[in-house]
Amino acid sequence: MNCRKARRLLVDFEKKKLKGKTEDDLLLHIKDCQRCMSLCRKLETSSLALSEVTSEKIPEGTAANILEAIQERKGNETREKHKRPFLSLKNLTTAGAVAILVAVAIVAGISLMEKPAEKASFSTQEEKSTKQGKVPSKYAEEEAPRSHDFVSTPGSTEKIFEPLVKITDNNYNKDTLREFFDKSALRKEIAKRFTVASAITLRANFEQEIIDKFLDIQSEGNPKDIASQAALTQVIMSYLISGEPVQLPVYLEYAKFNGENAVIIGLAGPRFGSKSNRLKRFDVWVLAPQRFLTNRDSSIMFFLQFIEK
Amino acid sequence: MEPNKELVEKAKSGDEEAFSLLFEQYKDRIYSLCLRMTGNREDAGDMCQETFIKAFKSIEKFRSHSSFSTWIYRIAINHTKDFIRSKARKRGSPVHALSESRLLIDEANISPQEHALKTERVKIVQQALLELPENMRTPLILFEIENLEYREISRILRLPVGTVKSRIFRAKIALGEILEPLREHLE
Repeated sequence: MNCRKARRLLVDFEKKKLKGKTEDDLLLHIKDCQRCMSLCRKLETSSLALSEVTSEKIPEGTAANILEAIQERKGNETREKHKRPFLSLKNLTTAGAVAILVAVAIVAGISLMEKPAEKASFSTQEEKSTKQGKVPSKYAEEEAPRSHDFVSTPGSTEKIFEPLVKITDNNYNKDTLREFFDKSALRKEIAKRFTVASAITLRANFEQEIIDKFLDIQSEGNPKDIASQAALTQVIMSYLISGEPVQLPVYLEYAKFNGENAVIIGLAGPRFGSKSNRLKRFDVWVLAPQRFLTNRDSSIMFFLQFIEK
Repeated sequence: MEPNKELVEKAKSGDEEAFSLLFEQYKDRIYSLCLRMTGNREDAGDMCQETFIKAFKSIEKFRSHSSFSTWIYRIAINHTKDFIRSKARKRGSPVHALSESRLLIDEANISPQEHALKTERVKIVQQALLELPENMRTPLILFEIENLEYREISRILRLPVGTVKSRIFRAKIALGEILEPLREHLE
């Protein structure tokens, strides 16, 4: 067992959730690995500390106040309903507004029917929301599930999309890198799944995901170096996407480019000048991380752009 | 423990008694979560109240493709996160644990001396918890204090299970590092 695998199991091991061969292999590894042994001790310390803090019951007075507040709200709502006379100015205004909306909807429906049918069939729930000007709610269960949810709901067959993060020994050059992304299904998948609205909503999440994954796959080395490399990666990503609020970071690879250490970052964005709100543009940036802090411009080694039809 | 669907359906159709029963089932868990996230009883009470009022207002929109507990935990976490952020902005620094002398401990059946020691230990741990970044602290609280499974945490926080696991691991390591010098006081 290597350190990377061991670290994924340490929390469950410490909680005594591992059994059989997995536990034996981990124990063998920890015995020989000082670093994992020291992590074990830290986990033990934090479990010891957390055992002091238990789940706590709500004070009776607080619970009673909350129930009272809910009932008060309910009472207010009921009073409001009874207060309003049916033919009030407010009701008439609302009725007028509804009538106008219905008329607009009919006109819009007629004009939609005149457009090609397949265009309408590609419209996802999210696109529809965007067109209607809805802002995605954070209380997401109040809405229909979005097509790009990170975590599938039970019984869902939908594939989860996560940004790709790799540390490889690949040594690319212009041609091999172009060939790699040319063949990649990633671009098509993104163009199919994501829109400008999703780029805006998910950008921060994807940035965080990339950094989390990068830290996950870094199993060896000094923790301080790993942390500073992660911080540098975040700075580079932010630098690349700062000029365009609708770019979504979806790919990160630490590899070599023409023999030099490089970070390859894939960003998805909308096609310039296109009416489509799909992320059909895919930019690939290759940068030399070691030069980035001294001179950002000179750290750019190569750039590629792909446009999905 | 998931409430039966009938109860949720009744609450959705405006049955106040059904909602009160849901409140009874979840009040302690939501309060406890808010308390660990804010480190302050008063704020936890406020957050708990806002959570249930929000749930009461929008329960008719709740769709049963996720469980009720996932839904209400998510409301509580979102409210508390917003609150912590706005409080930090007002103060210009992150929110830190209170110095309440009776902070967050079960006082039953312990001597005054034990009580004082435990109070001190809980205060130290709560302070250390609040030093963790919020995106690590919340999964850790859900896992270690609320005893939720990885899968449920992943649904609540809308994160892949792997990310939840790695955040819990990193949070525990960070907490261990903060508390290592004080380990002998904890033992």
